[in-house]
Amino acid sequence: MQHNTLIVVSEKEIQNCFEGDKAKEILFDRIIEKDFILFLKGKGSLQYYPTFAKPFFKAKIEDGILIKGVEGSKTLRIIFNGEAEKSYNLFLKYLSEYNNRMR
Amino acid sequence: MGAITKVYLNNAATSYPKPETVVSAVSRFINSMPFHSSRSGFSEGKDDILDACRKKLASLINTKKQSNIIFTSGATESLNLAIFGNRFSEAHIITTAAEHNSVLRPLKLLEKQGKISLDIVEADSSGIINPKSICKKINKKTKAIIVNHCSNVTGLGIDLEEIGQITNSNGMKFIVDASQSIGSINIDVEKFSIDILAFTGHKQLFGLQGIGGIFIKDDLSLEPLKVGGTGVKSELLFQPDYMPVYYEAGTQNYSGIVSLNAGLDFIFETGIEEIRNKKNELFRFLIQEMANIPGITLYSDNSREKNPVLPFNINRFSPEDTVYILENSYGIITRSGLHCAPLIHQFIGTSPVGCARISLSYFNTFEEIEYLIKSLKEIAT
Repeated sequence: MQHNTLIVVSEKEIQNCFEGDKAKEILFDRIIEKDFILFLKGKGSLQYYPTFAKPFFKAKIEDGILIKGVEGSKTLRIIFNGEAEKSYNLFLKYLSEYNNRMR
Repeated sequence: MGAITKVYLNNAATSYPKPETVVSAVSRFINSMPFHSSRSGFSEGKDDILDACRKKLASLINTKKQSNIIFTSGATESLNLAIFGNRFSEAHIITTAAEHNSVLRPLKLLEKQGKISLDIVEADSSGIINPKSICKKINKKTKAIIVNHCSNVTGLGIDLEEIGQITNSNGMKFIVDASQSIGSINIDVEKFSIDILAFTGHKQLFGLQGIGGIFIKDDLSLEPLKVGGTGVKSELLFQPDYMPVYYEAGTQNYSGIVSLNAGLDFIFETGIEEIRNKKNELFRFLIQEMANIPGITLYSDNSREKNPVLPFNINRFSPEDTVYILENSYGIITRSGLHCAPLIHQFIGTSPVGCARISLSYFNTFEEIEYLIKSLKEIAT
């Protein structure tokens, strides 16, 4: 049975002028679906625009972490406002929690 | 309207697509046996690509001195040569708030080192620099005026002829950054009394990234940024002191020069007027349509004839989010931020976060603009 789990297959640091101290672009093994976006809503505040050609979302979770992406895409941008490594580990913890729910 | 998958509207950063003739010229070049420009003569039936390209650049900016055109890696290197090569000492320099960091940072470094005092002329709320404001800053120690011919944030130009008259009559050097304008707006270094003109090849000239150039007037002796092998006069232990080799140490970027040469051919064959008219038509359509979208703020004075660059923001999103949504939800490539020109934003109302920017090319289409407008309506409202 196919599960909607998301596995990070690649990540790279990107330049980010204004939104935070550091930013990473994450590539997943499969596209982001609505259930992941709604999962993020439970972790903080969520802006979600389902009427866009590919729905855009932006979540703000603990540690001032900003997560943005579009539904139907394999990539996600994470912007860190605090200690990047600690914040990224927190994101991975939440991702693991999401994957466990989907299994 | 057919399905559009990707639209490129970031031509002020680098132009895309390149003309087919540029692509094929570069492809031919990298598939050909390397030759040495100063040794091959005419025996292989090849024109010297460097001379051919210099000649076209000289024609484009109206100078007969093609050897005064130096190839560089781009406008940043050209402007570093112009600013550091002048060896300013106890000099007063005037520049403007419309400058790119490729001008501002070298000047601020010289200022920090105590070698120059610097005046930065302010813009009005549209981003326009008044040449008369430049004139007011001139004092006995003023050695140079450095201006951006055309802003990469607003698209607005400055009257080079008026400033050239000022510098000419006051014995100052007139240094122009033509990165955004060359190939799109007529430049006449003789008529405008320009001493140094810096430019890049990968924007309006349709070349590859990594090629640019600088025009240096005869009577100027700049200190080269680099010295070394030139392929000629190898018996000399000092850099040959004639142009262009005085400033061109090291292996030339031949593939870049080939691309630039083909880009210039495209411009001459198409005509600058035709290129400008097409871009103006597209830009007028863009402005007219965008002005009618609620929730969008346009900046600068877009009623003037200018380079087709439009700074804007969507009121409910940050510039970063706007550009991210355009790219990832709609496949439209634009750019956000300060665009490496931090000062102009203080005047046009986009400080401190900057703006999103649309910049058009000759190769954009009305269909693409229509798709952009449709997308922006969905995003903004």
